[in-house]
Amino acid sequence: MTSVGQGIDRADARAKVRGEAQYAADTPVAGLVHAFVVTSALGHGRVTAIDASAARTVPGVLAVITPDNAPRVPGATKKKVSFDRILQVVQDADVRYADQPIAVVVADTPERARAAGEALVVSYAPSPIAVSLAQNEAAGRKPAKAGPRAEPDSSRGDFAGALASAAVKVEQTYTTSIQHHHPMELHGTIAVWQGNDALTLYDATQGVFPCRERLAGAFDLPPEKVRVISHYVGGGFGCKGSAWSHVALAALAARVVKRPVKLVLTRQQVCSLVGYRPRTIQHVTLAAAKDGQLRAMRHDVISETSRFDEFVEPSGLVTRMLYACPNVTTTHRVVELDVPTPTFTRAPGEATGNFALEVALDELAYELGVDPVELRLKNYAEHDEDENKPWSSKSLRECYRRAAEQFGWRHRRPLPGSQREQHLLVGWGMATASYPARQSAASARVKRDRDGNFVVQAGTQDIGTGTYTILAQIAADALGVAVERVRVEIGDTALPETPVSGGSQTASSTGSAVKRAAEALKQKLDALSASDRSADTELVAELKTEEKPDRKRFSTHGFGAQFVEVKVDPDLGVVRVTRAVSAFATGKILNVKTARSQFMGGMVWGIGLALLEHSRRDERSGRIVTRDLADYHVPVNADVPELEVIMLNELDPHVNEIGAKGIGEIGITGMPAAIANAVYHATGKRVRELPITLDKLL
Amino acid sequence: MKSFDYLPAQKLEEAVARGEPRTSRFIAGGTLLVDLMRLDVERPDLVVDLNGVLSSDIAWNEAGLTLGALARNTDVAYDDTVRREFPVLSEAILAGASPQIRNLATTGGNLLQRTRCAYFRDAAVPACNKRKPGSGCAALEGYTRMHAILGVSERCIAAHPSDMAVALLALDAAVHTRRATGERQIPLGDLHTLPGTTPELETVLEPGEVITRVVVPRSPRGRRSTYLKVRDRASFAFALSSAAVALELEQGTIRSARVALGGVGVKPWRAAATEAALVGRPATSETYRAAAKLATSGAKTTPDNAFKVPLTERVVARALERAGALA
Amino acid sequence: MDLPHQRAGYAFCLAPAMFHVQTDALAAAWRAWLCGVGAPAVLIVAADGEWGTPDRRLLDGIRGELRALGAALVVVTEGRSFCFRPDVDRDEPVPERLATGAGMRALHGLYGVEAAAQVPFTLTLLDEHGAVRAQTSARAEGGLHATLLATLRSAVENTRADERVLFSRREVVLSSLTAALALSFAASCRPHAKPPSPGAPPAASTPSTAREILVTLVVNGETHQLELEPRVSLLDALRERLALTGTKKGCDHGQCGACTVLLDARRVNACLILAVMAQNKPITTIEGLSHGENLHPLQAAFVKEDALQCGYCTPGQIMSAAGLLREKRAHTDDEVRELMSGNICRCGAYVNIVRAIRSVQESGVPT
Ligand SMILES: Cc1cc2nc3c(=O)[nH]c(=O)nc-3n(C[C@H](O)[C@H](O)[C@H](O)COP(=O)(O)OP(=O)(O)OC[C@H]3O[C@@H](n4cnc5c(N)ncnc54)[C@H](O)[C@@H]3O)c2cc1C
Ligand code: SF4
Ligand code: FES
Ligand code: FES
Repeated sequence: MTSVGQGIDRADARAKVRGEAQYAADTPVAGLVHAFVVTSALGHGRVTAIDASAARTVPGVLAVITPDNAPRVPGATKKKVSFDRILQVVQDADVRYADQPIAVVVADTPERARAAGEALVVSYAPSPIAVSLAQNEAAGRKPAKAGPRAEPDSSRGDFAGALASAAVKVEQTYTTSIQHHHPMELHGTIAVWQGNDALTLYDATQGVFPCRERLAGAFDLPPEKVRVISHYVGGGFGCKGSAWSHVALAALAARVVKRPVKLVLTRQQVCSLVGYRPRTIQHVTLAAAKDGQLRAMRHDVISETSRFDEFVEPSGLVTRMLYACPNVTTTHRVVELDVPTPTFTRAPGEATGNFALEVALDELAYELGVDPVELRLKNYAEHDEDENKPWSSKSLRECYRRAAEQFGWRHRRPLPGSQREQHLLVGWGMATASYPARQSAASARVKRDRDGNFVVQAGTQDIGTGTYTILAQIAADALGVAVERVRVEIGDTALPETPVSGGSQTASSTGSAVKRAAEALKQKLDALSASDRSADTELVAELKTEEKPDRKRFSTHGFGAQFVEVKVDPDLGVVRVTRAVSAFATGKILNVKTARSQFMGGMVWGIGLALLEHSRRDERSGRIVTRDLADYHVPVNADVPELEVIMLNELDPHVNEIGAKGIGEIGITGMPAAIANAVYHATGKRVRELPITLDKLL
Repeated sequence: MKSFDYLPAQKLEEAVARGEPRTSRFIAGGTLLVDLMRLDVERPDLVVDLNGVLSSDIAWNEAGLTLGALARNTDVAYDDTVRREFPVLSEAILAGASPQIRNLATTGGNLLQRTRCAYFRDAAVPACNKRKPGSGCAALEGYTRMHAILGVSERCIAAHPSDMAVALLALDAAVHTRRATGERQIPLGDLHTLPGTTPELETVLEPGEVITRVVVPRSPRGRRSTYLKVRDRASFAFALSSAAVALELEQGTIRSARVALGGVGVKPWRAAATEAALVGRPATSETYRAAAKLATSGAKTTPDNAFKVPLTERVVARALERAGALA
Repeated sequence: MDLPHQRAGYAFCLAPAMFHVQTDALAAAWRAWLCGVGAPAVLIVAADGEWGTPDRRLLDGIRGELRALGAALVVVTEGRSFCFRPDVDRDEPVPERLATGAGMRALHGLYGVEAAAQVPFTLTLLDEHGAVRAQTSARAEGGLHATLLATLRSAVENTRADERVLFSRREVVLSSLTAALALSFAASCRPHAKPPSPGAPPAASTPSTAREILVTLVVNGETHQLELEPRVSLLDALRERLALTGTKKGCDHGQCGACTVLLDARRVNACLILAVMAQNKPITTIEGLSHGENLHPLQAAFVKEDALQCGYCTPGQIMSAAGLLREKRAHTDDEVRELMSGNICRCGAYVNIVRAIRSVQESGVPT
């Protein structure tokens, strides 16, 4: 029996439910001491003095590290790849954003380190500060890229001409708020130096290899002298995708005190030190013929970035490919502000851009008086018109059909406010979901142990996505053995090199490498004579896979359709999602159990983005006001209804070795628009600004 | 967190005496004090543990309901007498915090919890009159979605966050205390003070004064009482606006009423004008709606929290409707 | 399927004090040799003066307890390294090529001479596969040998008291040793800290000083005495002092539920409790929810329903659910949702969490 596809239990579940899974900061290390990062109260300017006299009298304090005495970190501001971050590791007195690191204190206990940090007396010289995106929209400039690869601007056909002659138009502005990832595991690092030239890090990271490269670069070490270990990661969602300042600060502190150092950020600190989803302002214009055929689309995206580093929320990319339309223009602009650098956040670009596009489409459907699903089918893209390539596979029609049917969409009365249940208004909305299917180069090793069982080894990490489980399944099938006979070792740069667990690419990249390595091992085994085969020798196959060459001819995306029911209290403005049905077509499903969880997780994120999540920056100081999990609302259990997920098993021979498209992010992409559209259907109020809090409906 | 000494008090007098200096703090459940100490907002030298010296009993007798100051929020909320006689109290407690926190939080501590104003809770913000008297108020021109609209001053607009206190206010509860000079009794409405020019002072309690119990008198309105809370999340969030109402009806006419508001006042807020507009009127939706319109009279809003005016009116109307319909 | 920390040998990666540079041939040789000891072992790596020449009676006592436990002792000091295995029942030399200064450093994982001055020894508890179970470098002011003897003794007592059949004998030995180690090396070895005699009225009226005070915690049935500052939270006491890292920190402010434990059988946020205030009350953490290899019904249901993704909120969810089941106040899906809302799951596993809890309720198995 093949294992791939089966909903076997998560391999790491047992360790996790017993509390045995050790996350970075759980690692026992002898002689450990604790570091606390002191951050700037000021939002922009300079630190003029740090008085550490009181801090030094705190018992147990081992070091107070400030720009005055900090060892140099030569590579702190050198980027090698786009997702490397410029680090603030107390090298100078400049304050570029609020809550920037300005000192690190090390002590024998965490309480003492923190108390000593709080005892530092810091003087500042403030400079003028600008943190408002709305007020600085005009200062937007063209970025180098939108997302890792795409050009910031695109144009096909003649947008202006088509617009002028179109029968129906929608022209609106949509905005989204700062969203923080807030994974439950706080970012933490344990840094251990072996002498001055070898470093081991136990780090909460989505990418042990990128982290190694970044730290080696920062400290001017050969990469092989840095080892990064991350056996379990308590959620990432993008903010553990790059090595941020605190990782280097932990290493710096360990170097100063010559002992292993543990540094864990506070919940308040992760608001400024590990990135966020930037605010966006999106101007969308859609124009259609009377029959609903899209004639022209324009999507102009403005997002914020820091003054020292560039991150672009690529919200316009989805508009380039999602629908058939001959005349399409998109642009991305970034506004530099006195803020920390934003970063990838679950479905960067798609989550925000699809909100604007899919709400605009709903508005167009109402303008035209056609059903929203009909409108989407009418403009179904039979190939990727942006890249001008065929899809490697696309089953979006089937997604619409299955999800609509399951949801009962045909019973919908289109008129806003026409569906009621007692005193509540009931709204139904839908939106398309999509996410690119990526693949990067990856390596893997598969071994037969002396006991006859198999070991999969790859550096990759499991951030809750099921990597441990699916790699075992993939290898088991390739070897033709039961999955119980395969164990998986990951999360360590001592293992074969793999890419970051981001962009929903772990299964496709590392999975492909594992598959090929297992096949290679199987060939070796098969070539052995029967007597050799049983011998207790260790057999190994290790190899590297690149992006599947075939892929280049195709455009590779996963698609889905998401349908949502909301109930709105018309007096109080309270919105609750009461039902959601999503259908996804994302190639082969490797494990129905863990896949369903991932899709549902994305949907819960969509609820948060649509209704709750909103990090607010004080415009005078630049400080985040909603700095904890009481003020920043991520959905709680009571916010989440039963969620239905339909997984279409799609055969895609082109996308990669294993035919799986990646499932980690697509679940969020249609939800915000589906919810906003449902709220409109319930109330007749079109809210174009996320999150849709009750004050916007009163 | 600054280091401090810890004293598990053995006698009430000892607690009163050792709690007196400005640098001492009492601790009961600790869910507020530990939270604020970790934020470096509270910086006591001495923490006096009240757990050895106060009662956690919940008793029902002629006088009414007596809650020991240590009675845990969970135990009060699920107490059969409380649910029967004062549903508003049970509902208010269960609408607040989480099961875990309610298991720790005490009756006394809940009443004395401090504001959730984010500027107050961020020790790096220089201007907060409550935290540092005379330093200014960062909220006035800041982000104020969670702030008060009633009872605010030029110096402070922080909202009182307690749900339970709002219910107790609507139930005419009184706080019994012990101080160096003896015992006293404080009507709940008088416990908290307006910020005025001294927002750092939040209650009439003297330094070292300990809440020993809370007494809720028997009331003809008790059983016809309810709590309605509106918040951003479906659970585990502080109130944007809430109302505790208790009605006494006689043949379709309102004989007496209590209406108290949460999430909108600098202290648990009694909507006296609403109450007055209810008494003697027929128990109808029209009466409720008209009276509810008066709930926020005198409100001073900011652009961020102006929505609380219409919201509160609707919350009050809905709560009255619900109480009126109770069997 | 096995996971890294459960595997023989590989688990050294989780014990960073040792074999940091796994490529190092010396470290690899150490690792192979230690695995060959074949029994739970106490490994002491000590600076020269620290082990010294122990009193013979003490040493005999130590050997006796080791025999009783079926555990080995490996002592590595400059020049005088040895290994005592109960099945061999005599001191054996540690191979010379290992017991060098460099070899010590490979074990010690610190910074050689410099660090040895600060950390005079490390004591590591290894299981029979060579995986690290506990480690301490706390100074034994009562003397290393006497403290070690006391530790082994109390471990022997614990193993006798422990009648849980689900444990393998070796697990019992290991857990008893772990507990005894935590107890003696974290606190009681300090001569001035006397545990209060049970029954005596607590010495009140004198505030504990801001410095460390003796705190007695009863966690998962085991009594621990720790010297802690009053400001130390129960959460940090569990995680940073008792190495019970199953209880997680997600916010440190009562806002996420990751730190949920049972205190006096009620679910509470360990981050909001001062450890001094949790004294002498039974505390149950995720590590104490099930015995031996068996899973608690909630744990089994979380696995089956996939009620977790990254797993970080999971111990808190499960402990909270354990509290919820005891409370018996949630009878519908919606009531479970409401009463589990103090536990945030950022991965969004809520639907399955509700299912898992409901399935345990419906199964009616005692919890
Ligand atoms: C994440 C979170 C969410 C919350 N959500 C809500 C909510 O939605 N609604 C709500 O109402 N509350 C909420 N709370 C607040 C919670 O209800 C309070 O923290 C709790 O009630 C305080 O009680 P305690 O016994 O733990 O107080 P403690 O922390 O022990 O004490 C609080 C204060 O009262 C003083 N004190 C305590 N007892 C006495 C006494 N007997 N005499 C004199 N002084 C005393 C202390 O010195 C201290 O200043 C929330 C709290 C948290 C952490
Ligand atoms: S509103 Fe009050 S508590 Fe908040 S900043 Fe102003 S003075 Fe401080
Ligand atoms: S860590 Fe205690 S509730 Fe979050
Ligand atoms: S499983 Fe990741 S936070 Fe719940």
